[in-house]
Formats: sequence, structure tokens, C-alpha cells
Amino acid sequence: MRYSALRSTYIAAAIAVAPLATALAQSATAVPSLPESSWKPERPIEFVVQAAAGGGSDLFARTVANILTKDGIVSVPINVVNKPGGSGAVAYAYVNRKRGDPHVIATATSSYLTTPIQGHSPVTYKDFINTAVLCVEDYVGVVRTESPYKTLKELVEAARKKPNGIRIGGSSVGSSDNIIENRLEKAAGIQLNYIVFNSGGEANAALLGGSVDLAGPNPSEAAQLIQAGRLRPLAMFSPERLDNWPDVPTAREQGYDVTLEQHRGVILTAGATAQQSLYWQNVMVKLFKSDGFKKYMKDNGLRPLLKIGEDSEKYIAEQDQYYTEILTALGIAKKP
Amino acid sequence: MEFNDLILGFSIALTPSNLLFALLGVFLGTVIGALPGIGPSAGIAVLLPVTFGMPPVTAMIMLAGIYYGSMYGGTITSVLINTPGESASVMTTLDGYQMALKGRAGAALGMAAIGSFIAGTASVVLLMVAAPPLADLAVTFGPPEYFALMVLGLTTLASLTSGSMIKGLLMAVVGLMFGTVGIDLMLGAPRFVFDNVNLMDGIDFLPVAVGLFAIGELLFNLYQPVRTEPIKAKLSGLLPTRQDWRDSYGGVARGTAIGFFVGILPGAGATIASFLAYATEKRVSKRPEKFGTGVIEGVAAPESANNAASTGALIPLMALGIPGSGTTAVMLGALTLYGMQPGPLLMSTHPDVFWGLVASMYIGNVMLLVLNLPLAPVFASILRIPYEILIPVIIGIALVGVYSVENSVFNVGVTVVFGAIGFVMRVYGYPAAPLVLALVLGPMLERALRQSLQMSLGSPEIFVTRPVSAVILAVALLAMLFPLIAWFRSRRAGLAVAGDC
Repeated sequence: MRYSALRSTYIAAAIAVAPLATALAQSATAVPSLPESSWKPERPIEFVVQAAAGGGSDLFARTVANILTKDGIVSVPINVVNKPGGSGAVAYAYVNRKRGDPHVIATATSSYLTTPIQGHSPVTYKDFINTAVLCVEDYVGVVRTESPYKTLKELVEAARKKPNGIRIGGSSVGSSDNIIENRLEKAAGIQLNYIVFNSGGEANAALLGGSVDLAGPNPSEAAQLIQAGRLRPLAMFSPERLDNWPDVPTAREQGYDVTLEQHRGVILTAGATAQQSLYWQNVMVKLFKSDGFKKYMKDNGLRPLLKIGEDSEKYIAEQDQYYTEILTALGIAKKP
Repeated sequence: MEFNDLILGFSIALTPSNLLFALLGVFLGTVIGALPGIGPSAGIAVLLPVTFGMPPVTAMIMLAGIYYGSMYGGTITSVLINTPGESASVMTTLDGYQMALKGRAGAALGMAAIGSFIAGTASVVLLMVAAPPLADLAVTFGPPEYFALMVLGLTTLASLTSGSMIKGLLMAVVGLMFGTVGIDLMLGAPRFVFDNVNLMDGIDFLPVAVGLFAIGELLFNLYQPVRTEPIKAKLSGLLPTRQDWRDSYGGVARGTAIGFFVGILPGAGATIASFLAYATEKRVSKRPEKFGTGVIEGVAAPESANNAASTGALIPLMALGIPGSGTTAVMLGALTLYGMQPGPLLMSTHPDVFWGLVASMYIGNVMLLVLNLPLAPVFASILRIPYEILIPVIIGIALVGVYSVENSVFNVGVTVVFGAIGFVMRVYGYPAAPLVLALVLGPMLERALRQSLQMSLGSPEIFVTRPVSAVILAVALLAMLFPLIAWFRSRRAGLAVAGDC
């Protein structure tokens, strides 16, 4: 039977038992030292998550809240509140109504930028204080093991022979998979057939069932399926190879300059004072240095990337510009 | 499967703490299922933090208990007050509530519990012996197959109407129209959003169902000159009779089979399973005209189906790490929170979790049967409460429930608006079930159609060249032609009789 013996492909064999042990040394981020803040929270904190419970952002928020409370970094209770809907639009509109209240913080990831760029949100990143970026998540291009394509080049050549012949599955227009598709098309001069599924999970099911040829999940989503010999990684869409996946070449190495990373950070409502802002910056630095957060990043295949205060604002602005450029190319950015 | 694995599973599931949390899970699940507005996915999400610090297997036992327990609980409010406690119980309202009005609520609840128990246990057996091959079968179901399944679903919509066919179809069209609201995932274009961020994800199913069924029915009750009298019947002896069982066992068996196979498909789920089971039951029944007036098989079939589906949905989750529904997506997140990587290796790297869970589900289903059978008359006694007291309480619980799912005041507004619409529909005899089911099916149908055509680069041949999709479409065609053929034959029979004169 096919399931009894897990096929150990060349790559799967190379993946260690702890498949996501991203070496922290990979992008050693200098931890800034900040002056202490004179402000302290007086009431419980409301930590708004722009996605439903159980997803990546929810996991991030609950882990962060847990560490901040357990390690005594924040002395008041932290309530995680899920405000899903509108790809973040509902949550950020809500946070914006709390303007000036330093007891409200929120998670932010790529949808924080891409939703406003598409004109689907009344607020943008400029309406908030972008306190910290803590880590980034990479993407990996995978095919199912039965697929004839062993390298990204083979897949690209097949697509060149038959425009729209290669199907790539994703979760929605403007999502990470869509951006990867667009960048790969541009870098290789090919035309792919992008098919939208309702969620990343459904796209993975379609990939395993052969309804689509290629998908671009996060390494953490794909790790087990790769290890079990069900999926084959073709390329990392990161600047460098992952330390724990040394045998998976980057797309860049294979001649296609396609990189994309999804940041995870924390924002604060506009109108917070300098001292209040400084308080949260200190909290985020302490969080980043905590063992609990290091374990979270390691377990979930996240690359540490610490940007605080001005650095964070600069990083977010750069990311926004990058996404604007891509979404404009995709024809879904709102006309200025 | 090794016999030893099951022994290992039971040795884990039978420890006092795991038994306790299984009991707690199924009990909470029953309550969550019964509370209108809060379904299993919201319930699990809300209770997730409680499980932090538990061993992973204990936490999963409890969460799964909430999931299948809610399928039992959803029946209670559907039958007693015409309010689906969660989306998979909508079909139960059609005959369950009519049974309650006839003083047979206990029988409906009892039969639902027995059917759920049989379906739940049979599905756990399948989960245990065949999870990996079944999961592989489920993923081969691509967009064309989903499209065919949704078409089959739509063709059976008309059969949900016991009154005027035209009114039923009209409501289905209204449901399909509401289903188009939201940002189009494929093009990113807003449709009927009116720059309102709350409408971007479309209109949620649950507030609409609670509004139409619960609030609409309650308002209608106030409006009626003759109030529904609280039931005065003795509550003992309200359990299903032998005749009830004879009427139901076929429905339980078919409901289990349909529920399980629809349940394992990622993206289909318990709601569609219960709906197809009810429609099938009506079609094979010798007394289809009685459906909607309180026949017990109309309760047994969808209730068995939703329970089987909730267990079936665990298969792609446990065997591949792919969540097939909102609830299993939350459970996937939970597994990650406990430091496990969900995926095909879970069964071999964490056999304790998988087998402990399987064993606990056998035990949990027994617990639910033991909880629900004796309690059926007790729950039914809710109907003895005068309406003046019951109605405000139900409205309060329903609105709080709807709010709590996404912390959304907007959804409370949706519930109230659809409550008013539901009232008007009730007064003029427009059925609510086709509307809510079209609201669920419509977006799925549209998505599957567009995905399929994109896969085939525009050629509709894809629907007939793929064998599974072709077969399902043929069944759908037959389902549409069947009433026509029956009508034709009865007319010929009538003519033959006339000719004899």
C-alpha cells in the first residue's frame, strides 16, 4: 500500500526530525537598547487579532499575550480579541476608532498592507503607530510527488511550451500565492493559470489531489507533507536557503529572482504619546529576547527580524511600496 | 491498523482525567450546539485558551467532544423552538418542530440522539480503519466534482418545500442573490458591498438562519391571535416508539453514509451533508407528501448525517493535516498551539494523540447517548414554559450568541433584519429553508464553476470528461426528471383507468 511505506525522497531524507528548526543565527538581528518609559498601563490590554481564532495570526497573538503575562513583561491582563472579516478591514477600522487609547494593540501582517492598497479598507498603515516587526515567514514552491517536475526550471519550461498549462493554486487574488505567481511569470517570462480556492487548506488539498500543479505555502504548512513524501519542494522564495532545508535551492539560485516574505508585527493606535509608544517598544524588545518567543519562532519556522520604532515604520513603508507595485501590476490596486 | 494501537488508545482515553475532559467536552458541546448562534467552530475557538496547559491528547479529546457533542445539542433548539442551534441543524427544524407542536418533541429528540449515536460510532470505525485512503479519496474531489455536488444540492432544494413550489423556488433565488454579496475572491471586485467593511466577506449564514428561523418564528407566535399553548402532556413515555424506529432506521443508515462521505470532503461539511440526507430521505420515502409535517425520519436522517459528517471531517485533518471546515481549521490551529505539526506523519509520530482521540470518541458517543436519552423529556419540558417568558429569553440568548461568534455588532443587526424578513415570510407562507441553504450553496457553486472553467481554460467539457463529476451530474439530472416521469406515469395510469369505463 502506498501509505505503509513513506517514501523517503532525497529531499525529505535531508529534512531533520525537527523540520522547522530555523537557525536563529540566520538573520541575527541587533537588539536595540531603549530608555525605560515613564508610562505604565492602568487597565487590561485589548490585543486585537485581524483573523479568526486558530489561524497563524491568532497563534501569534495568543503566544505573545501568554509570554508577556507569564514572564511579567506586562503587569496587567491581556485579552486577545478576534475581529475577523474583510481581510483585516474590520479589525483595523475598529482599532482606529480606539485612537489615542494606549491599552489597545493589534497584530499586523501582509493583509494590513495589501487590503488598503486594493481600496478595501478605510484606513492604511499611516493611521497607526507601527511599533514593531518581530519576525517574517517565508514561502516555498511545492508540487506533489507524482508531478513530473523535479526542478523549478522544468516546471517553467513546461509552462513556456504551454502558456496557462501549469495551474497554481492560491487562496485569493492579491494573496501571497498570487504575488508569487505574478513575480515568477515576470522573472521567467511565462504565463501561469492561477486558480483561487477558499483557503490555503483547500489549495493544498487541490494540490495533493492533482487539481493544481503548484502551490506556495509557508514552510510550516508544507513541512509534514514534504517529510511524508507527499509533496516535493522545488524552490524557496526567500533570499537564501533555509538552514534546516539546506537541499532546497532558492528560486534566485535557479535563475528566477522571486522573493516574498510575510512579516508579523504589532501596531498601536495613533495618538499615543511618545512615552506610551516607548513603553510598547520596550515590551516588544523584551518579548523578542524571551525564550518563549524564540521557541515559538523555531517551532513555526519563522525567521527572526526585529524592527523597532523608526526602523519598523521604515520597514512597513518599504513593504507597502513593494506590495503597491505588485498589486498594481496585477491590476487590483486601487487607482490613486 | 494494529489491534494494539486501539488498546493503546483505550488505555489513554480511559484514564480518569481524559474521561473527565471527554465528558466535559461532550457536555459543553451539547450546550454550545443548543445555544442559537454559537456553532462548534466559535465554541471551540472561545474555549481554546482553556485547553492550554493540558496534555495535547486531553485537549484534542475535549475539543473533538465539543465538536460532535454540538451536533447532538443543535437538535434540541431546532426541535423545541424552531431555532437551529448551529448550521447543520437547519434541516431538523422542518420536521422536528412540527413534531414538537404535536407534542412529540421527546420522540424527536430521542430518535435524534439514537441516530447520532449510531452514525457517530459507525464513522469512528471508518476513521479508525481507513483514514489515510479515505483522505486520499477526498482530495481527488476537485472543483468539477464540487460543482456537480452543488448542482445536485440545488436540484433537491425544491423538495424542501411542503407548500407552494413557486414560493420555495423564489426563496432559493433570494438566497442565491444574498450569496453574491462580498468581495469576489477571484477578481477582488466588491459586489453589493457599498463600502461597508462588514459586508466584504459576504453575509454570514448563521445570523441569517437565526433571524429567519428563531426571531421570525417568535414574532409570528406573538402575532397569531391564538397562541401556541404550552404542552400539557405527561413527559414520561415521550421516547421513540417501535413504530418510530421502524420509520427511521433506513434514514439513519442513509444519513450516516451520506453524512460521512460528504463530511470527508474538504469544504463541503455537515450542513450540506444534513441537507442532502434530508432530500434523499424525502425522495426514497413512501410518504414524501408528509415531509415537513412532522415525520420522524425527517429528523433521524439529517441528525445522523451531521454527526457522521463531523467525524468524517476529522479524516483529512488527522490523515493529511488539511482542515475541511471552519471547525477543523480551529482544531488544526490548536494542534499547532500544542506544539504538534499536523500532517500525514501525525499518526505515526503521535500515535497516542490519534488513537487516544479515536478511543475517546467511542466513549464520548456513549456518554452523549446516556446524557441525551434521559434528558430528552427534560429538555422537552422547556415547552411548558409560557411563551411570554420563553420568547424574550430566546431572543436574548440568540442575539448574544450571534455577537459572540465574531464580536460583531453588525451581525446582530443582520439577525434582527432577517428576523423581520422571516416574520413577513412566515405570515405569507414563504419557506425559510430554501433561502438559507441557497445562501450556503450559492457561493460554493459559483466558486466551483469558475475554478473548473479556469482549470479547463473555458471548456465546459471538464464536467463530463471527469467520471465522478459526470456521474453526480447524471444523478442530478435524474433527480430533476424523476418527478416529471412519476407525474407522467400517474397520468397514464389515470388515463388507463378512465379508458376502462
